[in-house]
Amino acid sequence: MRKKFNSNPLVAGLALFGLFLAGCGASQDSNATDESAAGGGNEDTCDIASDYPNGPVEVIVGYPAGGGTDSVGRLIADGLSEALDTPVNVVNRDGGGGVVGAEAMANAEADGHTLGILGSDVILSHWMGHTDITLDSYTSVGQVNRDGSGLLVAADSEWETADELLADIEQNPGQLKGSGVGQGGIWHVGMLDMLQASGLEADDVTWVPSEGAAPAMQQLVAGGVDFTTNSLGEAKSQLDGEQVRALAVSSGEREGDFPEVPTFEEATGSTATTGVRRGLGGPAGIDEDIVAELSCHLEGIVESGEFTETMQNLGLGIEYLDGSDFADGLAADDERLGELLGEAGLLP
Amino acid sequence: MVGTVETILVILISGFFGLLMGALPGMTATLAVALLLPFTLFMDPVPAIAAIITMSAMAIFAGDIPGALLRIPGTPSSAAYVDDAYRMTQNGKGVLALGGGLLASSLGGLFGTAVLILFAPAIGAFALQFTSFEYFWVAVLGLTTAVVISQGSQLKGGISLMIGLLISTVGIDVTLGIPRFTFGSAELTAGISFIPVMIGLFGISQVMINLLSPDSWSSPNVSEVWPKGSVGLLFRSVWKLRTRLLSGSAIGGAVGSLPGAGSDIAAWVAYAVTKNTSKRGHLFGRGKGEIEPIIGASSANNSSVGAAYIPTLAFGIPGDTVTAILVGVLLMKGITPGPELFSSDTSTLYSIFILFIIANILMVPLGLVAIRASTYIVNIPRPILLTTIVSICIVGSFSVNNTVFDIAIMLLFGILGYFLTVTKVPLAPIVLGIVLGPIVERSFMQSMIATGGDVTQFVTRPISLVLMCLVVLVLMLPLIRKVFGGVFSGVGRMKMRERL
Amino acid sequence: MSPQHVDHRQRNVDSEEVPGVKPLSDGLLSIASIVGGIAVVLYSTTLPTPSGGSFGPGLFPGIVGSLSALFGFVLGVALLAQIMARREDRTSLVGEREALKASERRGRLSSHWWDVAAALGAIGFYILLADVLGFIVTISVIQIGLMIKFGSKIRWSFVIGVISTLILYAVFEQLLLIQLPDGFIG
Repeated sequence: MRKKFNSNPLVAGLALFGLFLAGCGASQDSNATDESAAGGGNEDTCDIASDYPNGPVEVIVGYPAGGGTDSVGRLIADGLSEALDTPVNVVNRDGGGGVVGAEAMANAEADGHTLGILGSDVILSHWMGHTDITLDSYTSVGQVNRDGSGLLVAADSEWETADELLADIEQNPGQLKGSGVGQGGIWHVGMLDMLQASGLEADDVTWVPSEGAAPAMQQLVAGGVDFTTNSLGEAKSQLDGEQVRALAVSSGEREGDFPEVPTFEEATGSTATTGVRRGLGGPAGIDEDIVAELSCHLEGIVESGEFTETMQNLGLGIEYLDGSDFADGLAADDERLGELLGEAGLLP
Repeated sequence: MVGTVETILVILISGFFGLLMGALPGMTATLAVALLLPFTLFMDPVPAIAAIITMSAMAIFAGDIPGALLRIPGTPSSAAYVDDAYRMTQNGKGVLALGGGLLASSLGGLFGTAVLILFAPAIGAFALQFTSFEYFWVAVLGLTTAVVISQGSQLKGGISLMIGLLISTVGIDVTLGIPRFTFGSAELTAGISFIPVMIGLFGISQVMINLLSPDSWSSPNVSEVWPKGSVGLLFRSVWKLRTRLLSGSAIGGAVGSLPGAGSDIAAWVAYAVTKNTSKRGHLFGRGKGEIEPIIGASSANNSSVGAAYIPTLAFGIPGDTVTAILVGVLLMKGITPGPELFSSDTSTLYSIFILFIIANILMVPLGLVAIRASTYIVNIPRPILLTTIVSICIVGSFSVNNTVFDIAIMLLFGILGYFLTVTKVPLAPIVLGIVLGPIVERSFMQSMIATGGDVTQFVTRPISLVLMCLVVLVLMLPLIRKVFGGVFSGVGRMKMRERL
Repeated sequence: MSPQHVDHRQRNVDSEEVPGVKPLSDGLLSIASIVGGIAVVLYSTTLPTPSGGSFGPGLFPGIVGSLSALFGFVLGVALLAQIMARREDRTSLVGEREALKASERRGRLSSHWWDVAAALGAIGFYILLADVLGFIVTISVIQIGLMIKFGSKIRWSFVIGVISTLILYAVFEQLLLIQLPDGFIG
């Protein structure tokens, strides 16, 4: 579903939506004039590329509207639209587990007017042979979000700690079922990382592929699978509703939105830190000045109150890195993910 | 909270917008809601929810309009009864088809809302027991309708269904992530979207049929399409079919409350049940066009819209694609859907209930205006109408993914649709196959992987077993009725008298 | 056309008819289903099975392909049985069928198929040229061209063609925010 989403209602310029917004009360008549909302960085210091932008900007999201990646994309687009004073449209190009959007982003013209949400999961797909596109096909602008892989079980299950679950897996190899994402997807690798750290084999768990975190949660609550390894934010409703229990999360330290969940290291003594990082990127070869300008604005957006609050509501962890650190992080993830998939014998 | 000027304005505007979206081929309720997303970011929670609810309810109904007038279903759930509705229009009963669908939609929607209000936590808890085994049977139940709707030529219906299922397997495999039938094409890797296929099969093939047999083109004038006293007749005829309305709504409520099984499956299952339990079932999908299946299926698809909010609100697990977007919006507004919505902060919950009731009541006047306006379409001179349909089909297919590849798909399936139509192969099962294919395959493969290839769990789990029996019953009912024909004939005669 | 004619046409399984002029017969449908089904099954077996699993992505298409071939086969058998049953009155049908064919050729191939070709050609035209010419130009050409081809007055075709294009543009691009191709203008 590739749709143009206009962040600037004035550009939509229609009586219909004019009415819409008029009805929305005084909180915002138009975000073009309201600088106090999700304001980007200081416009004077950030205006590095002189003739950029000279037209609307597109942000490609490789997943359907409403999901975690989409939310991040919309928040960034909203802030950028204001900072650049130009319409920034989110374009959802879902399909093939993110591959379609990833290819669209990599093949776009590198003039800075087509950007996209770049993440570890996008980088991962070349390992499975779904696409020829690798990290080299992209320019990274900056990272805004990082989430570790949670270890979640149903609230009525017998396992109270990660150790108990892992011991059960060891005693009954191949009996327990895990889920969270498709075969070879980011959360599958997250589970492989936890198994490897605990000295277990990849096939000690039967991985039941699912098309995303939401259906996996349904399977978990219904008893179709024994545990899932998706991010805690994706399980926020079920955690708050006490239908599922988080045993651990594979991050370096406890996540701000879920302070009661121990890290994998705290829970088991061994280290597993596979997670997903997301940020803004574009096709390879975008002009350095444009990248610097975008990166500067992005930092301002991430620090804004609206961004922080919404990310917290969504249960998404904020972690800002500039373009080169983001690229390094992705490269390190890429190598580690490939290694884990290779050891599990999942590479084609 | 609901009674503010802002909210009422939002409801009215999104109602009209939803009607327009649903009436255009290629524009679905999901798309309408997705388009609305950037605007909801600026709204307070209640108007934002109001916009989503009103728009999706209207769009689902409005999908009937191009189906009845031009045989191009606006949404996949309208595809189930498109032939019945189109035939009624050809026989000058277009208003009855559309108006009946409208009233059924509204009442079905209210029924779904009642289910949502009264039983949400209990039903939600039941729906949460569904694992991949149960989903498999629910999807198969949907597929059996392809056989039921094509009675007399079940084989052709089966072939048609297989075409749809095969189309659904193109692209990256839903479970293991391996590309299939892509032949190295990047476009095919993403799979074939059902919207260009649907527009081609129904829209383009219908244009071809009309071009080849200009004699069949009779343009009824508006007074024929909208005879005097239509509205009164409408209410009377729907009242006569009130049991059908109830059974359709109940099916919609049941199917809609399952996470991931949306209005499409609800409409198809209701159509099959209506056909199997009606004495006039053999006439559906052929002949002069019957209103009974339209009432049954229309009430089901709108009832499921309300019911889809049950797992969403009770547990934060979305019931369909529209509610998946709603969950995102709610979370952004700091509202976490889940059990505490029912205990702590009930004001949001009650707003949602009231919004549903308003949207479904408002649907009747807005819908009647839309139907009245759309009847003028049939009076447009033939060259202009056919040309414009071609252009709308092009844009509708293009807008799904913004790629001309989808227009080529539409062209291909238009030609295929023409040949299938003249071979008397029903087209609707293809759409059903594409929509349900991924659900069937995924639940089947997940179950097989989870059990290591052991198929016994498909029949030994209690809910699975019940669902399987339902599938068998739906398939066998025509046969059973033939055998026990005598017992039913008395009831049937009464039903005949009730019919208009 | 009398009811009998229609009846014969539906049951006709002769495949020497000019394709497209005659409805594609049930026989062809049966053969297509069998061949297509078998091709799909063969293709499915070439798909890789992931390590450790005993069934892979080929399982489901394999089942669907087999069912397709099965349905096609049963359809073919039923058809053959029908042909056998009405072999004796077959000869009497030939004359009628020839007449029917001739009338169809006269009535359809001559003019109406050109209309169909124009409609399908218009879609091809859009696929090839929309990116270059842009939405407004391409759809205007299609609207005007097809209207004239389908029998509208030339002057009116131009007026209505341009207006309807602008309405479509307004609805899809402006109201529904769909990015239509701009072409050289944009």
